[in-house]
Parts: sequence; C-alpha cells; structure tokens
Amino acid sequence: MKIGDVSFGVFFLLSALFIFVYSIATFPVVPGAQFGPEFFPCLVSVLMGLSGIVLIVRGIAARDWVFDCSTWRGEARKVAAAVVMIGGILTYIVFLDALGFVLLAVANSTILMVVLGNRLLPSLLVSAAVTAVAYLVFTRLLYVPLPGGLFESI
Amino acid sequence: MSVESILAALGLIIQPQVLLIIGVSAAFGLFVGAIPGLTATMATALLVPVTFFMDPVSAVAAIVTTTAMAVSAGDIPGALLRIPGTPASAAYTDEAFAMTRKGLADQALGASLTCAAIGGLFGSIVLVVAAPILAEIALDFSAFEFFWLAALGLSTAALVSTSDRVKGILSLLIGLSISMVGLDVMSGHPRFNFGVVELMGGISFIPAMIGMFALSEMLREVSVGNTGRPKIQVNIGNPYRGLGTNLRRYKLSILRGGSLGTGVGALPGVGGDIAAWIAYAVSRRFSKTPDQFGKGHVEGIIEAGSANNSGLSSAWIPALVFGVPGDAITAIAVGVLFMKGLNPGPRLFSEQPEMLMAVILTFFVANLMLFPLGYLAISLCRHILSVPRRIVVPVVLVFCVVGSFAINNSVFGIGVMLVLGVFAYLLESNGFPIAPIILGIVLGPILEKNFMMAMMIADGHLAAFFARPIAAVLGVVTLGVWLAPVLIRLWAKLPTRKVKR
Repeated sequence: MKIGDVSFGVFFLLSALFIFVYSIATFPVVPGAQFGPEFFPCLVSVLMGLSGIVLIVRGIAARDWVFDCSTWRGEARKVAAAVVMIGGILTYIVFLDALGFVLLAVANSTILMVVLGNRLLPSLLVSAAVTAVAYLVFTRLLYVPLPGGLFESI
Repeated sequence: MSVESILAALGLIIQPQVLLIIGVSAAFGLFVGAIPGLTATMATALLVPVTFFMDPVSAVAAIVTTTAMAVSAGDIPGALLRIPGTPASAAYTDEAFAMTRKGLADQALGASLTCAAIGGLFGSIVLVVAAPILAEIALDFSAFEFFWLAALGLSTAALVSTSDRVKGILSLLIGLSISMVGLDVMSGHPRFNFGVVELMGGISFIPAMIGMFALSEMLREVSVGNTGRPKIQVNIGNPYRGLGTNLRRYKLSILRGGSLGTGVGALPGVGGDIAAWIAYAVSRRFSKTPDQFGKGHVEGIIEAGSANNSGLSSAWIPALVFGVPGDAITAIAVGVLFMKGLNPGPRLFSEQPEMLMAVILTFFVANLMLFPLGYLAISLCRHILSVPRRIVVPVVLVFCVVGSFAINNSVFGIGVMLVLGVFAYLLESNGFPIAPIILGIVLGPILEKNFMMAMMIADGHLAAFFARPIAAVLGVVTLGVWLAPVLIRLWAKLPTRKVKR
C-alpha cells in the first residue's frame, strides 16, 4: 500500500509536535540538573519534525500524495485475508481470557487457511496440529501459562 | 583468554541440553531460511520468546545457530527460484540463478554453503582473538566513548544501509521515540505512558520486534497474493561435485571475502548483508574473468558467500564488546542478553569470561554444523520449498501471537505486536527501512543515558565530547557519516566550477 511522502511527512510533523509539547508541558523540571527528562524527547521530536518537513516538501515537489492501493484492489481474497489476519489477532486480544488459547488458535488458523485457499478439512487438521505443538512447547517445555478459557479444567 | 576459561566454556556447551537446542535451532534456521518470504531476522524474532525462558548460554546458542543456518539457507531459494531467502543472499541471487539455468545449481549451492561455513569460521576466529583485546581497551571507556559508539552505530544503520537518507533517519527516530516510553533513565520519571500501567516499563521489545519483523512480513506475503507452491525446475545433483576445484581455484576470493566480511561486519551499525554486496562488487572488480559475471559464474558467489557469514560472526564483536549491535539480528540478540542479565560490554569479559567464551564457541559449533546440515538442506530443499505459502502464513501467525503473549503473560503484548506490525508493514511498503527502528529501540536508552552522563561530567560544555582521543575519533567519524553525502556533492561540483571560470 503506497502512502505518499506528503502524508507520511504530515504524520511525522504532527507526531513531533505532539512529543515536543507533551514533553515540555508534563515533565517536571528536575532541580539541580541541567537537562531533565524532557531533553531527549525534545531533541528527537525536533529532528523528526524537520525530517517530516523535508518529506512534505519532497512529496509536494514530486506530487507524491496519493494513496495507491493497487496491489490490493480487485483481489477480494487478499483483502479478506488481511482482514481475517488483523481481525483474528484482535479476537485474541479481546477474547483470550474468556475463550482460551487453544480454541482461538484453531479457529483463527483454520479460517485464515480457508480464506487463503486451502480446503476445510486439511486446514482444520493442520491448525489443530500446529496449535497443539505451540501449546505443548510453551506450556510444558517453557512453563508459560496460556489461558485455558473454556477448557480451564483440561 | 586462558585455557581454563576455554575449557570451562566448553564444559558449559557440551551439555546434552545445549547440544540438543543447537541441533533443533539449526534445523529451525535452515527451514526458515530456505522458505522464501521467511527471513533470518524473522526466525530470530520468533525464536526470542522461546529463548527468553532458557538459560543464557542456551539462549544465545539458539540465536547464533539459527541465524547462521538461516542466512546460509537463504541461498537455496535464491539459486532455485531467484527469490533470496534472506536479504544477505540477494547480492548473488541473480548469479546463482544463472548457474541453475546452466544446470549448475548443485555447484552453486555447494560452493555458497561451503564458503559460508569457511567464512563463518574465519569470522569466529577473528571474534575470539579481537574481542578480548578490544574489551581491554573498552574498559577505559567513559560515557563519551559509549555515547559516540551508540551514535555511530545508529547513524551508519540509518544512513548507510538505505538509499533514502531522510527515511532512514525517520526510522531511527521512530525507534528512539519508542525507546523513550517508560521511566526516564536519569530521573525515574514516567514518560509517555499516558496512565497505562503496562507502558510503565516501556514498550516491550519482544512483541515490538515480532510485530515488525514477522507480522509485517506475513501481511506482505498476503498482499502479494502468491499463495501457491513455488515451482522448482531442476533436479539437484551432488553439491560436492566440482567443489574441490572451485575452492582451490578461487582460494584468494574466499580469503578476500572472509576478510572483507569480517571487517565490514565488525563496524557498529553495519551488518553482514552489506558485506556480501561489497564483496560481490570487489570480486567482479578484481576478477580475471569479469565478463563472466552475471552469466552464471561461481567466483562472485564464493566471495560474497564467505563475506556473508564472516560478517555475521564479526557483527557480534561490537555487540558483545561495546553493547552496540551491528544489525537487526545482533540488536535482537543484545536485547535478549540484556534481559538475561548478561549485559554486553567490556565488564562482561572480565566478570563472566566463561559465559562469554561459551557464546563465542557456539559460533564455531554453528558454522561447523553448516557442513553436514547444509548438505542435508540441499538434498531436502525440494520438500522444504514445496510448502505452500497459504499454510506457512497462518502457522507463523500462531507463533507470533503466542510469542508476544508469553513475555509478560498479557494481551497487551499482542496489541503491541499488532499495532507495530501494521505500522511496520506500511512503513516498509513505502521505502522506510525497518532495521534502524529496532536499533533505535535497543540503543536508545544507551544513547540517552550516556549522553546525559556525559553532559553532567562535561558540565554542559559540548567541547568535552571531543576531549578524549578515542571519543574524538569516534565523534569525527560519526559526524563524517552524517556529512559525507553533503561533502561528496560539494566535491563533485568543484571541477565544473573550475571549468566555468
């Protein structure tokens, strides 16, 4: 996805301004020290702002400010896959404690594999296998507790 | 480095657990490196959450082995499919593919993998010899020297490895900004956490890295839309065919490539990939048969292949001795070492020599394993390369999620991975390099802390930054890196001005 230099430049300029103002306004002045916690952020934000301006100027000169989604356009499968990927990760964030890792992992992987073009049954089997491996490696080998969710008792 | 510490280090490594981990990591690295679309950096990123829970020696052994294998295995899809498995292989992908079309695929692969092993061993020897010497010198380093080292590393990463300097600088600044979240290094005051408890400790490095290197790569795979099986045209014969002749004929190339790779890789901020490109160019420049380059000639592959892996080993010299990583992979590893309490730096050499020696010894083990395992990989590559992308992507995604969750046992990590992953995908699609971001995250605190300390020592007088001799040299070199493009342009304009007069 191409986002023009101008858009990026504006983004960085605004971010820089935010960092600068936030640092100056909220960080306390440390008595006795020449430079406080706001020094480095301000330095970084000044450089970022300047670079952002350079990008904006360059972008305007090259007329490079359009969004170009051509690699994604016309291929519903690609868009669907990306949506499923990102949406899937969001489901982990929201539902991990409630539904547990195993259920979410198998469901998400299967759906993504099907959207990418695999058949349902092989997708289900491979997802189950991969989830099992990941679960065993992390819980049994590395002692990382993964939420059980609905399968808390297992 | 005394014999006792070497023996003690060997004792640390020759444990069944460590050897098993090295074996598994080698297989993992070969697998990931050989599949196009999965890079060595991603292999490291996905490995880190697993190594987080291991003891330090095993953890570093796993990372070193994986990266050595992955970078070498990246030559396989490069030669067979013209798709480099890792950026380092890209320097000679076209050459290798040309050889494949002439039916010499086995020679190309045999040569590149063997020279990778040789180069890697060469770099490791330099590492063993040079690192302690440099560490002795570095013991006298003050905040000024460390500041300039960090600045040099960051500057070279941002300005040298990309063609678009402004975007390289911006990537660096993004990394530095991310590193500023958390508690201020000098005063302990919380910064940029906006009241969110999880951000008090800063943006967790591992989910950030998994997002930027693994998730963004998966998004790119999906966007390109190539979900099927890659088609391999040829049958691979014996990789050792003609190897002896090639090695003997081009032994100078191996030596030159290895030395060049070691030298370039040891520079802070510059990694093994660039060494490969430079070595290929040098090989062509000094070859007796330069017109054969590009048509399927093994000489360039030999030189660049050995530069690749030697650069990989020597990139650890600044990482271990100064704590200033050479590239994204060593940055990740330095981050892991910090987390394990093995703070890289000159003190590590004096206080925990056996631990450090063990780390260095794993380089030798990993590169020696390239000989048998490389052969195995070439024999199996048909099968490895046939795994379709549409299966690889979801599988990698599962490990991304688990890895990001596992570090702090919190879904916040998954969120960090998602946000930074999407952000990194957008950045990389528009010409922003990702490596400076991770270097900024890892080196940001070092840069700031040493800067603040230096300012306190100097009482605000900037001239003090150049007062000490080593600091002065480093400072001038750093400024040189920043001013080089400007100076070069001015220099190029001089003759025309004279002509006009």
